[in-house]
Amino acid sequence: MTEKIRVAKNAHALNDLVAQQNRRLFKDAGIAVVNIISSPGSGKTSILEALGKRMGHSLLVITGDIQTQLDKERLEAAGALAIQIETRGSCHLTANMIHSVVKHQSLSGVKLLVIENVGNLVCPSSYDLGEDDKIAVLSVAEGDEKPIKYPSLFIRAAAVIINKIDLLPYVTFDVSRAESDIRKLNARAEIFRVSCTSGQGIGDLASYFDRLTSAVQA
Amino acid sequence: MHEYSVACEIAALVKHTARGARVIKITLGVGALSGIFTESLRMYLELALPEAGLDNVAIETKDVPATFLCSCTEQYTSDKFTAACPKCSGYQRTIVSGQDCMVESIEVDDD
Repeated sequence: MTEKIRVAKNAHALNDLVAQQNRRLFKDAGIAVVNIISSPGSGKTSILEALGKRMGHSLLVITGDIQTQLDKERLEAAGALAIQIETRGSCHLTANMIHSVVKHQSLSGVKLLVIENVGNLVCPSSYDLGEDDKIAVLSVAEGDEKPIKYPSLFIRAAAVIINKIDLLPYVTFDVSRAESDIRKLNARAEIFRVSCTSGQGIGDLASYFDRLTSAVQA
Repeated sequence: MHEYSVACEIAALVKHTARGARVIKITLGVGALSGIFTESLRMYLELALPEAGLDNVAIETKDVPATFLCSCTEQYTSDKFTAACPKCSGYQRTIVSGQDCMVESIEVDDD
């Protein structure tokens, strides 16, 4: 006899279960968690190095790449705590990957956990890792049309960082167009203009992360 | 590439739900804004389901339109993330549905 079973679950349901476990663990530890997503080379690690110099060991970064420990080394040299996940080909991080490394990590003294996703403007945005917020990074060298061409990340991001603005004199990137498109996708996103080379905008970004950590600890 | 990951997740979810019963058919609802290319997902499910020990499973897919709710209270559908509100032309809206790829139901043989 055949029986029809109503499931009504998201394809990511098993991932989402683990993401909720992660979220509880982070809440119990009293830390703010963001999932930072961009295409490769937008400057995610450079932004986190700048943050690491200010925050030291109160910043923990879990950084995902296909291979190498290079980002972990850079982040530790900047003063942050760092864990490297080598996905060996997978184009995004999953909640399981985060769970498997976090359970071995002391979170004592950590105020902010940044999950630096695999460089990819598409897949990572659809996986919940247990974060409070997703943050998008877009560098001006990539082109101002990227938000409208790759909307799935920008529509979910609580903040968008436009990076490498020191390069604006050398590239054809219309900041107002990019910001207008981001607003059309996501009226609530905070937008930051940043240069890790000149340091412009880093203070405002650090204040934003301060607000996130204060909100969790309040 | 991405659809293969999703196909493996669906296969695991279906297997978990069936609890050992033989699965005959699965019905999926693919949201217009889910980022899933339906034909690609079907192709990968034909690999991922047998890999999970689920053979000869019929796959039905339904297209689910995206629904937006505007701050002006207008509700509207579109297959574009950038669709402005047709009533007030604004962008102060939230996506109510159409971002997910759902496993709606499965059919199992109890014998």
